[in-house]
Amino acid sequence: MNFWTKMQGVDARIIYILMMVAIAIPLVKPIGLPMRIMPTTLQVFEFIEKLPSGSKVYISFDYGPGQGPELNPMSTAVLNHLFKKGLKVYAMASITEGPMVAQSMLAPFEQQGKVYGKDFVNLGFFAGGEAGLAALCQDIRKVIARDFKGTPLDQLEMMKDINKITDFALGVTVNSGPGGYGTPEVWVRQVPIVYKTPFVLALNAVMTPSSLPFLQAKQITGLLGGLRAAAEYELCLKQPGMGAALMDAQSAAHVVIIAFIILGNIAYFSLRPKRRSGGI
Amino acid sequence: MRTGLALVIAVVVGIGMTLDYFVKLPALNNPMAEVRNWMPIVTSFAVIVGAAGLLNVHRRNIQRKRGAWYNSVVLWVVMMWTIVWGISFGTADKTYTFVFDNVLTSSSTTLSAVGALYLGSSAFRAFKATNVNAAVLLASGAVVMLAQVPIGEAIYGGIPAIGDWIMNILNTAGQRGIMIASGIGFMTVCVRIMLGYNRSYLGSGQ
Repeated sequence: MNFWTKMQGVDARIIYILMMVAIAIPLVKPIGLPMRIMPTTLQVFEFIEKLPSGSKVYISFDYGPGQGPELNPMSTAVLNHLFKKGLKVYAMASITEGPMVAQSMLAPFEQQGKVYGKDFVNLGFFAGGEAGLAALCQDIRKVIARDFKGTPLDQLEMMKDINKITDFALGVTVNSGPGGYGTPEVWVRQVPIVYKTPFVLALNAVMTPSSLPFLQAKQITGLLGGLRAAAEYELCLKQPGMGAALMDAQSAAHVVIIAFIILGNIAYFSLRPKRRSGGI
Repeated sequence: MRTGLALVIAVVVGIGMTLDYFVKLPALNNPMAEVRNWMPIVTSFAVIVGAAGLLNVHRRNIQRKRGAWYNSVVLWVVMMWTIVWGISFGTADKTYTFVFDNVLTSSSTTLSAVGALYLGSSAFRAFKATNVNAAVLLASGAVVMLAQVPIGEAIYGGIPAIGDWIMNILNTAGQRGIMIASGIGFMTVCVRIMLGYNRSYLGSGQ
């Protein structure tokens, strides 16, 4: 049995350990590779930067805790910018775990002095999928009666002038795609296309390619894709955080996966003559 | 009779909703807006039916001691606690939040992370350049992967530009084709439902 035959039969656990080590080392000892900011990220940053203080922005947390490691840094970076600019933040969610995710994302800002009901509010989950979103766009109170804490919307100071989706200066969905009712396509179909309001998609990396046509067709204001966009956004804010810290680990993971593909293919092609002759 | 009534409702609401999107007429827009407002209520009932169905399946597993029935016990305990506690104290309650952060978040994050390990293993075993198409797919995938991380630029300065070109030109062209084709397909299904040709949603098997 030659080296490549042994390689083909390598225990999966060895591959798992190599992956874990490759990811863990940069987390413990960051390399700090330089990174340029993509125009798509800059586009979102500059749009928010131009919003006047006090503008109302809704952000829908359409992902569960499982996608948190990839999407939480993006949520934090965008929230950081919104609060830094003195914008009013309205959190909501089209999936059931979303309001809890929103709460955990907003908690650090509350600890830093932002006040619930004055600077931000968590409107909770809205049911009904695409039809529910369409109804919410026309009249929020018809779909959401109380906020996450159970307070009727009319008792919230921040909801005084808010009745429909066009009352907001910007909308953002931090979205993990299928699995929720409000997928990126659903948001684009029901909000920016119908009401022509500024809208940003903040997606995990795997969902980004399928949403690029919306950006190119100018149907959305901006697109943030994956952990890299979070890291870039942190750089725009000049506040490197979790996104930037995780980029080195992601670099290592990608390199290891590509190395595995190359090794796997070398093993495959070196053994192909044997396989053809019935030797394996 | 029941099927006929459901069919009439589907046809009337389907045509009404379609016209509502294009025609500005209060006599049409107002009732359709009202129908849209019912959706969150209907969906909420669907969640209750789904939860009841899940509990019922696992109740039978426990009663008959079928397979890994003890997992069904865990599901029953956790689900009942979540429902009772959530309804009694609200989802903003500290204990509820603690369990969400320390049980659901930790376990679902772990499950997602395990996917990365499987990806490493499958990259080694399954991603083979067995023909030209597979080779092109592998090469473009590797370039896009490297373009997404800073190390790609460190390896070769042109990688981000090539990655962007693949994503913005080749990928977007393909995605547009998929979107347009699936959109036309979706419209066809909707028209068939509205005309009563497609009745499979009624459970009649036709």
